[in-house]
Formats: sequence, structure tokens, C-alpha cells
Amino acid sequence: MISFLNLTQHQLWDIGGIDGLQVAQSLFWESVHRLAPFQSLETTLEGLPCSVLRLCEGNFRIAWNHHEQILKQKLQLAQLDQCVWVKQFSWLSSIALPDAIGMSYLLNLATPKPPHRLTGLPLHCAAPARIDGISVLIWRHLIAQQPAIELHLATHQIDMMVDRLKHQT
Amino acid sequence: MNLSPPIPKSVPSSYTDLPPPLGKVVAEYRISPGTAIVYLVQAGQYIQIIDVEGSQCSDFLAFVESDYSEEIDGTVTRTLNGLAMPQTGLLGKYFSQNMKPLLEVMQDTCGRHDSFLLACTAKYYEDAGYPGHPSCSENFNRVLQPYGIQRRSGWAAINFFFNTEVDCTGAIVSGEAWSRPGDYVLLRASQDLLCASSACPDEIDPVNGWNPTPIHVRIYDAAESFPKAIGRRATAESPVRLTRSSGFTARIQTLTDDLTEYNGFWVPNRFAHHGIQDEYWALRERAALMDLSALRKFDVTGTDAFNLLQTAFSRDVSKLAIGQSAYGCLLNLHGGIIDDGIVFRLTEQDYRYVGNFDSDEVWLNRIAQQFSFQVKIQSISHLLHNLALQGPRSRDILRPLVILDPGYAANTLDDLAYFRFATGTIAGIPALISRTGYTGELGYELFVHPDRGAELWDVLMQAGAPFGLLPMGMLALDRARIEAGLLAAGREFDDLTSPYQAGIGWAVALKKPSFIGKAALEQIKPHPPRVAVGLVLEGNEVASHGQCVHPVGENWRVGTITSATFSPILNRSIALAQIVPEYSAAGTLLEIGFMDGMKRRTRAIVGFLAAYDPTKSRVKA
Repeated sequence: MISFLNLTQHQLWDIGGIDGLQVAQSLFWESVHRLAPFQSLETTLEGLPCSVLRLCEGNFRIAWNHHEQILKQKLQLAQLDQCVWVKQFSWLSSIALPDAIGMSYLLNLATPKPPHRLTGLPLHCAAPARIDGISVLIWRHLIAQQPAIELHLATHQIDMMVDRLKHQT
Repeated sequence: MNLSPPIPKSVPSSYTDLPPPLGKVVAEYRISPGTAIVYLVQAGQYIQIIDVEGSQCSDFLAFVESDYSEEIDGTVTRTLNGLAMPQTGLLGKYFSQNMKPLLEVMQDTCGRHDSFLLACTAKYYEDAGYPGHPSCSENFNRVLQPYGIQRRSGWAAINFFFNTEVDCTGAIVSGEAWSRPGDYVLLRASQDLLCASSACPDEIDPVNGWNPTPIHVRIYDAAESFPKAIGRRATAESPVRLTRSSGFTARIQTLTDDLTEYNGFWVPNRFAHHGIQDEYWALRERAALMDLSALRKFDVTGTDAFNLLQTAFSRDVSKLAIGQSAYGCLLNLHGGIIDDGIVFRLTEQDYRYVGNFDSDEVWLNRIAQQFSFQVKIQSISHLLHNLALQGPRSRDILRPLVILDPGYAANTLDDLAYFRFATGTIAGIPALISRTGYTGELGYELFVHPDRGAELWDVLMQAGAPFGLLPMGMLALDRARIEAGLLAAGREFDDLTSPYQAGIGWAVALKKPSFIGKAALEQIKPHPPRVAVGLVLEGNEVASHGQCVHPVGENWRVGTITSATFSPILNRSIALAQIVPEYSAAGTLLEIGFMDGMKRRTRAIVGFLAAYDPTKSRVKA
């Protein structure tokens, strides 16, 4: 049976808007603008590791595994005078799987939305997909310095997904 | 549970008024004018709906065979595709109300259909003074009744060949169908379906050319494999030509599923696990490889080849040495740009024109005939496909692979100057190597026989790997060319736009004794109605084609945006625009109208047409 990674302190923060790229750049340096949608990078904020995923031209998602206040303060400062919103979505949750076994599970279970591909999905990349009709964003990146698969999905479907993955043989 | 009444019998294939079958036909039906039929299709089978005589609409319904309550939903289909009609390719599926794919468009030789309006209804005819007139909706009711499908006053059908358009006022206008005899739509069923097709009875307006005619439906075996393709005609007289693959497409398809039809070829938009920014930065910092085989190539030979090009092409061809090329345009009599392209001087007497359109051949032949030039114009587009290897490391990648033929000014790749070319080999593959490009970077365009395309792709990808080479799609290319101030047909120019308006006045050799369009251009040059400029926006919002440009604080316009993007390297929102000369001076502050042009204005400063490397130092490096 598959085991899930511990995401106790894990938070997802989203940035979106016309100035989303500029806000992300101010937080995570210039290299953010090299990301294409559904690519991510590992960086640090206040010396603490975090992952930044680009979702489109001006939209980014931050995976943060540390004290909430640290990131919150940085985000509040960065969005001053910028045309962006910064949110934590109550309806969005995540679960995570160890990389190798997680990927082998998902290759069998998940149907990526064309033209995205799961086969060969590199580290630091994501793809929208469906598993048994449930919409998931599959993100391959580092969690606690280790390669992992993070699945973002609707909070109300978490239990169903966990159940589905546990029963995958 | 669904009823199972008898299905109409397929007719024997005795018709002589149809294009040849595409494969193994398992059933076919002739729909008489003004009637409708139902037929069953199994998952994987193909439906070809053929307009037999042309200008005839055929409305179409599809229901899931196991549950007739699930059917094609036009609104869901439009929403999921982001298109008024599915188009062959990535966004080519028809969906049910449950968002399940029911059908996929495989081929379409017409390209003009309707998904907004009902199949014609009794009410439509009644309101027009024709009570009792047959209608597609009533015909559908009649043929669907045996299946227990409830009648509707109007069926929200997919109306193939029905020529409608939403105009700028929001009106849905219609007219005679664009379809010609034998035009067809080929669909692939994603599951078992009950389908209904009509041959529309409307003769009271132009939609069926005032004369309803038959429709023919063929069902092909699921074991067949038909390529996805869009049919296009190069000229009014040309036969339909289906979308082609280039010599590189097979390799590209291993790296992406995001292909789009461009100018008759399947080309990649972007590559899996990469994307616009990634590919763009590879181009600007390292190297990128792209398939530009959709360019058209014409060999111009004969004693008057020079005279023809000197007459038709905007540049002074007499200045070209063998092995040299020049960018310019083909012009019409009023100085409009028919096409932009490059003339290559191959030998003392022979030239090659590389442009965008098949119709260039017709135009050049017409000029040759008019001037009684002894010249042969031969399309060789099918014999030469081309990759562009662009970026600051492109020379380093090519250098160890290239051997140039003797007889050119350049002996080695390092000697090959900007807008020079030579034949030779790349890793043993015969090629024409041209130091040209469309990206604003040092780069090469490599022309090879399509049979050697896959081999060349592999060689370059392998040789480029240590340099960080990436394949690049059209989305990143468009961003790069806008930064570099390079024109795109249909954006920066068309046949009503002069080179002076498009920003390539430098490519007009007005000192030539005569050439087509010269008289008009002499008049236009001193004061073109608009001139091309680059704009740098104050905010990060990206403008779009067609948006209006205003003086600061004014409602009236001074120009329009032709192309726009966010420049990653400049970290600014930029645009190409065509502006009246009075407001085109560098440094002029203008406003771009977003939304309705009034709700939000963003300021922009007039600058160089090429926001990136305006001195062209990189391409000449």
C-alpha cells in the first residue's frame, strides 16, 4: 500500500494578476521569469526552502512548509502598489507521494489533459490531469529536499483520492 | 433502454458525383434534398459528410447510443475548445452536456460551419411567409421519433457548411455556403452513436445557393487511420490541399502533442515539459531549433529570371552576388505587399524565392506572361523543407558538422556572412545553409530534402544538447519576432499595406528603373498614411492585435496595435503598432485603449520597431 508524505505544515499560496510576474520576481529573484507555465523552481525565502510553480503568465503558486507568518509578511510587502491578489484557497488541498512510486502509480491512473504529458514529466514540472474523473494538478518537485509528487485537488475530494490511491495495486 | 428501430439501409456505391472514398466504406447514405436520415456509428468509425454539388448545408445531431439523453452540446463544445467550432487538431472534439467527447473532427475541406443557430425550423419559414415549408428540425423529429426521442421545435444541431458569422455588432449573419462540390467533413466517433444528418430544404434564402441539393454520408471502418488535416485552396482555381507534415514532423511529434495548422503544415506551438519561456530563453541565450517548412520555395530560372524578379521584387536584385540573398517583398500595382520573402541568387542566371504563399507562383507567372519574360517558375516546396537553428550558440553547434561546397564566397561556416548562403553538407546530409532567420539572433536556415529531415533533426538535437539547444514552437517564435520588430503576414501587412506603412521601406529599391508598384510607392513614401513603430507600455498588461492607439487624453485614434507581447528579456510589455506619421516620432507618449478602449488606457512610448537589439548587432555577429 502506498504511503503518503507528511504535509503537516504545508501551505499553498497563490499569486495572480497583471503584475503577478513582477511580484514573484521581487520575492524569488529574476529566475522566476524563466519559468514557463507548469514549470517550477526551488528557491528560498528568508533562508527557508520553498517551491514556486508558474501556472500562467501572471499566476504563481507557492508551496511553503514553514511558519505561515514569515511568508505572509513577505507577500503583504511584495503586493503593495501592485495589481495582484495573494490568496490561500480554502477549497484547494494537497497530498504528496514519494517520487518514484508516486509516478509509477500516476502513470497508470491519471489521464493528463492534452497536450500535457505525464510520461517523462521531469522534476520541477506539473501537469493537469484526471484520476477517475477527479481533477488533479500533478506537480513533481522537492518536498523536504526530496523529490516528490504533490497532488493539488479540491479539498472535498481529498478523502476519495486518498482512498483511490491506497487501493491502487 | 433505447428503442432499436430499423436503421436505413446503406446504399450501394454507384455514385459518380463524389470524391473517391478515403478508405474502406462500411456504409453509405444519400440524403435527398430537403430530407434527413438517422444512422448508427460505432466507436472508432469515421463519418464523412460530403456536400455533393456544393453550397449545401447539412445539419447534424449525435446521441450516445446507450443513452439517447446524452447528445452533442454546442455550448459545452464551444466552451471547452474556446472556439466557435472545433477545428481539426488539439481543439477538435465535440462534447456532450456531460463534457464527454463524442466525436472528433479529423478532416475538414470547407472550414466554415455554424454551431450557434438551430437547424432550420418551421417557425423560421412561417415567419418568412412560407407556412408548411419543410425544415431540418421537423425532418429530424420525424426520423428520430421511432427511437423514442422527443420532438423539439428546433434542434440545436451542428450545422455543417452553414455559413454564419458573428459580426462586430453582435449580429449573426449568414450567407451562401462556402463549400464546393465534394467538400467534406470527416469525423471520428469516440463512442457508439446514433446520428442524424440532413440535407437542408431551405431555398428561400442564399444559404443553400437558393437550390437545395443532396448530401452524401460515408461511414468508414474503425480500422482505418486517417490523418488529421484541414483542406485549403491556394487560389480560387486550386484544388483542395490537406495539411501536410514536414520532413521533421515525425520527430517533433515525439516531443509534443501541441501541434497547430499553420499555412498548410502541422507545426508545434510548444514542446511538452518546456513551454514558451523555456524555449524563448534557449533561443536568446543558447540555441533553438524550429521547423519552418511552411515557407514556400520557388526556383526562378531562365534567361529572364533576373528581369522577372527585378520587376516583381522590391529589392534591387542586380546587387546580389551568387550566394547572396535579400529580404524584400512582392508588390501589387498600388504598392501593397502581396508577400514578404527572400530572393536567393543561386547561379549567374538562376534564383530562388522563399516566401509564404503558394499563390506567389501564380502571381510571378502572371507577371512573366505580361512582360513576355522567358522564365520558368517551379515550386520546389515539396523538395525542400527547412529548419531554423537560431541563437548565439548556433554557429558553435553547426561548425563541426558543416562542409561548404566550393564556389561560394564563404569557405567555412565562420566565413558565411549575414544574408549569405552556400550549399554543402551537414553531417553528410546535403543542404543549403543560409545565414538568415526570423528571431533577431545569430542563426541559420537549413534547407534539406524532406527524406533527410528526420536525420538532420537528430543530428542537430544531438549536437546541440551540450549547448543547451531546445526545440522551439511557434508561440516562442512569435514572442521573439515581435521583440525583433519582424513582420508577420496578416498582422503587420497585407495587400493593402505598403512597405512604408509596414516598416520595411528600407527594402524598397525606388532607384530601380521600374518595378511593379513603383509609381504608387513614390507617391506613398513622402507621407504614408501610417508608419510602423515599436511601443513600450508603462504597465505589464499585454496589448492585442487591433487595439486602438490614441493621443494622451483624446478619444480619437492615431493608430492600431498590430502585434504585442511581454518581452522577457526587456521585462516590459511591448507592441508593434501602425501610427499616423504625426504621432510616430521616437519618444512620443501615446495611450492604448484596453477593453472598450475607454475603460482603461495604458500609456506607451514610441520607440524603435525592434525593441530588442535595434541595431541588429546580434544577427550580424
